Amino acid sequence: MVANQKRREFIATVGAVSAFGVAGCLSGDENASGNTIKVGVMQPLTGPLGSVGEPARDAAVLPAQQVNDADIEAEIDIQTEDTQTDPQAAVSAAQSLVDADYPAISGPLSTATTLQVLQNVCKPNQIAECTLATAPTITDVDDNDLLFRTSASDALMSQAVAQLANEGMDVSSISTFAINDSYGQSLANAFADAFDGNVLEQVSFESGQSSYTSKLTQALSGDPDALFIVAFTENGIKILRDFYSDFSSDTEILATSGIYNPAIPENVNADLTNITGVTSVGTGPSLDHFNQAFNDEYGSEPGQFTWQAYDATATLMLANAAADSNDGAAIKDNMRQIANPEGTEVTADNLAEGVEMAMNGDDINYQGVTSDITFDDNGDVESGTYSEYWFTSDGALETGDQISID
Amino acid sequence: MSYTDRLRDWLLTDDAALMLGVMTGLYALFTVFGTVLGLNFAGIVSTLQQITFFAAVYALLALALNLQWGYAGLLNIGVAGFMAVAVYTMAMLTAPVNAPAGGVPGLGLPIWVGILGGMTVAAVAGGVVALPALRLKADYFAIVTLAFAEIIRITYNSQLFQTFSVAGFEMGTGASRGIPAPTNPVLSLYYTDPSNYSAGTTAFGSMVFGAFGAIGLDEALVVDITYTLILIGFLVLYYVLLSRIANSPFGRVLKAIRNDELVARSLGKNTRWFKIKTFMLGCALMGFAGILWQGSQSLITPTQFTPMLTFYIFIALIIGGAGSNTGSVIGGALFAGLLFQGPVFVSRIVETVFSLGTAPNTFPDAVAGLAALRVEPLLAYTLSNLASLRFVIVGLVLIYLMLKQPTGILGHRKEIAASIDITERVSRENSVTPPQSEMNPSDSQSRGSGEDDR
Amino acid sequence: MQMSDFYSGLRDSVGDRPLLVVLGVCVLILLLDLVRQLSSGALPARNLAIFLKNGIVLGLIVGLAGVGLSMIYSILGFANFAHGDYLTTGAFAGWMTSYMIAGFGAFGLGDLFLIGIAGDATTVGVGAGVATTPIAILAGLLVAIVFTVFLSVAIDRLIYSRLRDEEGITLVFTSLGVALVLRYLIAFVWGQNSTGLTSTAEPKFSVSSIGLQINAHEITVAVCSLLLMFAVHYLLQYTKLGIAMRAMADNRDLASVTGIPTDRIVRSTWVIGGGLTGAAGYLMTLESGTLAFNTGWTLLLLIFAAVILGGIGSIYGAIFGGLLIGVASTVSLVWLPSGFTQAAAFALMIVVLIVRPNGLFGGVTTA
Repeated sequence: MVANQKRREFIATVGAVSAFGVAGCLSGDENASGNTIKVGVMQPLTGPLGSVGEPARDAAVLPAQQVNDADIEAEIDIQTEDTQTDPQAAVSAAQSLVDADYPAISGPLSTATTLQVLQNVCKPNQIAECTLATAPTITDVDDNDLLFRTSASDALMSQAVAQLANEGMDVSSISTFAINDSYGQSLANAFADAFDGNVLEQVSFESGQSSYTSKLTQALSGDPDALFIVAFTENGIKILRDFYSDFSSDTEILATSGIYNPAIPENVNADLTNITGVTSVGTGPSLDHFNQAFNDEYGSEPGQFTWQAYDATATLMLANAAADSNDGAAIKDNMRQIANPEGTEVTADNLAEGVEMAMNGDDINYQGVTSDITFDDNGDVESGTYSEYWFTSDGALETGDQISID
Repeated sequence: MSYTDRLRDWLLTDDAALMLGVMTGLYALFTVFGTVLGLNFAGIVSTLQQITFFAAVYALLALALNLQWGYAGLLNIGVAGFMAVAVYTMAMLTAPVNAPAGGVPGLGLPIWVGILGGMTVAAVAGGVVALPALRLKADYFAIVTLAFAEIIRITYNSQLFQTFSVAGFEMGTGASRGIPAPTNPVLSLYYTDPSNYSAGTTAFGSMVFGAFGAIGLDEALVVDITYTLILIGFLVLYYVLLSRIANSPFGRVLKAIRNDELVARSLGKNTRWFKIKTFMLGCALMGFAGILWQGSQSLITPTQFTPMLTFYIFIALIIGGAGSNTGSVIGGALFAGLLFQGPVFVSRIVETVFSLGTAPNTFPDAVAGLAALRVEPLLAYTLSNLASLRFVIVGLVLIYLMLKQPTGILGHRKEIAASIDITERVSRENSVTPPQSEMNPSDSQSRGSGEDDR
Repeated sequence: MQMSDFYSGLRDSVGDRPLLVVLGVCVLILLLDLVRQLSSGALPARNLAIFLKNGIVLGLIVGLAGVGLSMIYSILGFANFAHGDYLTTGAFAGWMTSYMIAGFGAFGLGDLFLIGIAGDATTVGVGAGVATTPIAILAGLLVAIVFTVFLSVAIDRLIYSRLRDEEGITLVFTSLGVALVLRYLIAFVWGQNSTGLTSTAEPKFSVSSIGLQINAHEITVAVCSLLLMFAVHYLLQYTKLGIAMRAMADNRDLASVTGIPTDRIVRSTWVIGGGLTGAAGYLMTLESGTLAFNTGWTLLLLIFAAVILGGIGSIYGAIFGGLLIGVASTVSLVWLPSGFTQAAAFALMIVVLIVRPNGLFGGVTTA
């Protein structure tokens, strides 16, 4: 049992660093210690998205830990906050990060909390924000260039799925089955627009229900060629169990990142070969290293949004190092500098060195976990990269070709 | 009587002193929290500003709820729903006709029309619910309001009404993505262009920003403080309005209904009509409080209006003392400080101050350490799972407050329905008649009558 | 309570309630439309059968949990907001036991304790199910009942008993505090994830004429909940304890004067109510196959709706209300967009209350 203990030294670090911070305040000159890189992390640790947010938080503090373990000049100061999946609590938590002089926020997860935090805290206080929210709205929002994101917009994701359905699988009629929140509604709608064929039923479901069979019946009532499921992993497990218990596997299932999880086969216990999915993960140069590091640290497989959370913190840290100041405006100006091409490549493998190089003013190019991370003018990752995945008959999760969106 | 006893008496009897005492206590507590967290001056001021903001909004809502529950005895546990109706109506009326990308089209009306519209629609919704539901007993009435609030939330969350058109006018709720709220008018006090701060500040803005900048408070904080002050202004208005209602003939009928509806009806009062009017007024006031709070936050989404919000407001009212306006305000402040923000700060401090290097990933691993007489694994596990424990603390504090003061801090003030306090005369007579023991039977009344009717 | 009372009550209210007539017409129109959709093939019979089956199973669980809530409501006079979390706690205790028995030896105790939510004891590995591991399931159900009984009596002793003389609203918000403590202690220990718990390889029985499948877990749930409901009915109608409870629900002071030991009755109420709730939690998890820290809280509003719809204090009301709410939340898919199924259940409750202000079986307490 004891061998199973994993280190979470970030807590220790936070303690040490904030004691340092108090001393800094007392001397009245906290910016002079330029070697402390401050990043605030916000994820929903409680509330409806709590089960998604917890692993995302774990992933988001991982970069800081890697750098602090390494022997370099810089010290990463991380404070984590809980959004409670509630816009009010999120704004309040973000404000407390600002009060403690954190110049950048890694997260949050949902679109509503992201926009609330942006408008009420980040814009007035010039704080850089790197969100994981996927709604297309994020692209066009008036953000003074403070808002970035490491996850791909639903606008692109839906095109990728539609392309797979139309060309790869030759599906002509489909029903959607999406969680009834902004993530599900937005993705299902975007898909219905992008899909070239008949969309028979658009069914939405609430999470935490005891049975999804009735709603699945409704979704499958027109006998579509395929069912497109937008769900988080835990709803996905329940939905798939209900599906395989009552319906024929002749219907193809299209899925998104929520089903891309090795926990699915062992919890669903069925032949999952009719599932084909699209995930925005699996192409980034840092992927293997991250997966290994996450598993070593927390003893579980990384899940949905952990990849993006890692990239969010990593880019904010590097930008902070490059800017050489804990100033939100300077950090946002350096985000493209450290992430976009031209420069020495930095991955999850040599992140600490990357921070050092950035501090020395070297040109670096962060190669992320989700993709190679190149921010466009809107702060979105340029041309999201997607890959197809499926389950083999013995329950292994396999990733296939990349899907490129034009 | 010692000096401290006298101070305590004064604090407990004088409403203004009590409110002042509670706020001073909270400010002191959070200043300590902030100092432990290593916040600088601006950080501490901002923390106190947040506490004040939440205290004010919860006090506003508790006051409106007190009118319905404390005075008329109408158990409304659908507060969030009526707030949602008002806030959404306001946003839909004021949203620009030609919505920008990602926005929702609206009617483009001025903000004051939106606010009045929101309050009106909330009042009408209150009437629609109350009209048939008032025939029900309190518990049944309560669940109807809760069900109504859930139906409202589900409706605003539905894609069916994302955008729709009425008589040629395009409008919508934005479904789960929400609808943008109009720009906070406070911003135009300070900035020439509220949507783009860099465009410059107004003359007033420059002056105020300059003054506060000199003591280290930045622009964003000044704007927040201004808005909080406006909220306090409205809080005073609410307080005065509701206290006047309570002491008016209308208010006395309400209290009579609460005490014994049959008697009130026997005296020829149309109690049903009184209740409906009160309920509608309460809903309008909740609606306005909702607009002041949720409407000021740039985006309005259905997730802001879950039943938990209603419960929070009720907790504020109950710990303050239902039936008392001062109690409502104090309850709002105590809720915001001790239950809403307190546990957040405590867990933040615990995370910051304590450092235990290694944390097991699961609870059994953490407990396994105990077998080896090692407490650190469990403590470390606790530290890395503080978010859940925070709600345990909220629950425990709530249970503690209920056990300690089951009727709330000021709940012992039973307000009387009559305009002349008869019990007061009785108790005075009692106090001149020698045998002291006779005072006791009327203990509860004499305690109540000794205090003012606020 | 006798069905004839119900009908005569219904007949009496028609005269002075035009609302009831309107409601009747609406129901008739819906039924006719259902027949039309069935005959025209717009609604396959299999779909309706699945809706009904799911609605009934959910309704039985809601009803079972509702009986406990309703009894406590009528005897102690307050709505217990922690009821949903009692249900979750019972389910966790029961499933832990089931896992410990089903997976004994194959996995470490720590992993089994976590019932697959974390750790290595996976669903497939343990394979708990009625057909595969009947003893583990039976033991789990018993532990769920016993543990919830213990928990509810202990909480009553510790907290609620001190507030016996306070108003209902004070107790309601105390119970909200209890709810938060229970729910987040579970989240603290087990985390917020939910995973599959039961074996999926259970025997299925199919009604081939309409293509409906019923699996062993659904049958177990139905049988167990009906048995438990019948046991409570017997207890209340024919035992001394039951009569005392009914007396106390009707008039507490009178019962006390008559020499009924009210404290002991209160405890018995918690024992029965808690036990049923624990069973409901365990059975619900058996049917749905997943469990999370907030399972009961999610269900609580529906349980309340069922109890109120049936009439507070009436166990038949709770059962019937549960079934109505369950069926309404699935069959409404025939007419309404899928986001509105819960709204339909709530709307049904409001409509019923407008027509019958004391609920369907109102006025009769604990009988």
